[in-house]
Amino acid sequence: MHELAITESVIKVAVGAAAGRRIHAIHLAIGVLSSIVDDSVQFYFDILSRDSLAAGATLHFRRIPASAQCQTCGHQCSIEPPLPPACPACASVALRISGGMEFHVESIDVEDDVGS
Amino acid sequence: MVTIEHYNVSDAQLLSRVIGDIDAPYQTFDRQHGLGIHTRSLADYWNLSGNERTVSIMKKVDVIQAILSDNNAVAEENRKVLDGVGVFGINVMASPGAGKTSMILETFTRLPEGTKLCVVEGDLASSLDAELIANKGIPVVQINTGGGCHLDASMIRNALPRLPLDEIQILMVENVGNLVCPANFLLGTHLNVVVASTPEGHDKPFKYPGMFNAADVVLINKFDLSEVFDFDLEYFSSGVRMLKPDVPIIPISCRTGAGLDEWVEWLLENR
Repeated sequence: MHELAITESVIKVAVGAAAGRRIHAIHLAIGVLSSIVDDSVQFYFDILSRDSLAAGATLHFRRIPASAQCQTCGHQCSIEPPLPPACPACASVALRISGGMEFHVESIDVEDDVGS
Repeated sequence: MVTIEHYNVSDAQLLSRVIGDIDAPYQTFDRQHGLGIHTRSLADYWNLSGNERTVSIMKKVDVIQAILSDNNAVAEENRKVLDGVGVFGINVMASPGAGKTSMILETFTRLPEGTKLCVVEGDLASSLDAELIANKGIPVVQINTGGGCHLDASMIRNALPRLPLDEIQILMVENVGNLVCPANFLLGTHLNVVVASTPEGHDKPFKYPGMFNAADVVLINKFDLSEVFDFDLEYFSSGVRMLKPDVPIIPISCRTGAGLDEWVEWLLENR
């Protein structure tokens, strides 16, 4: 249920960046190894964003893969949890995982007033 | 001439920027459709009345900010407070029942003369662990999260003034028992200790990569029972090393005392 605290932070970051403009969408970049349940964030968001500039905004989750490189045979692949027990190519356990821990607000779509 | 740049077309959103006079005919450009020349004016297209000259257009604003940047900022403040008084902070994370409190108590009894410890206890409810610790004469502050699944930096900020920081060298923060949520929330401590235990099984690093990725050192408690639970240390270690190749993995037993001297020695060398 840490999604509650995370959703509060998402709204705070987005509203701060919106500088008074209405928010139509929030784009999040979440690594696959960061434990976040999209549906849960959306559920909290719908409740917590009421009466804010983000009310009714759409949440977009861009999942960033983690990559694995085998130290034995050099095989590279992208992975999702659970981690593979060994290299899918040579069965070595000497895998190195990188990336997949990303956790930020990438951008927001706001209403921008344009005069003639 | 008005130009509208559609610079990001998704299923849900058309992001546009208008350049020029909205009373003039306009053209659009996007990757999908290329250049489009329109004979009507934008004001006409949007059906604006004669006096209306402001329209709402979507604009993309780059943010690129950590979701938990507020928490991280408070964590930095906490770190400064600890550094200011020369206290080394340790965030102890584990599943419920892995032996966090036992590990803290066993660490306490092995610290050399002149190295003092205090504890912040995080639990959903109760002060059972804090009482265990207070009974040993260790200064302790209990935080009840009231159902919250993790400690955050502001909880630690509130607890710090209630601790005798001038008299101690090590602060142990016992996080809420949970292998998921605490990994995301920096507290301002200097070291993350993850306490695994043999009854939980050797597959935990594979199933909870976020937590083990956050570890600076991994202790495996109840190692005296590893045979009973068919705990495969090599398999466990390969999972941790995939994420953190250089993280020390120290088997311990808070029941028999095995491995605890090694852990305390490592701690004193690396603080």
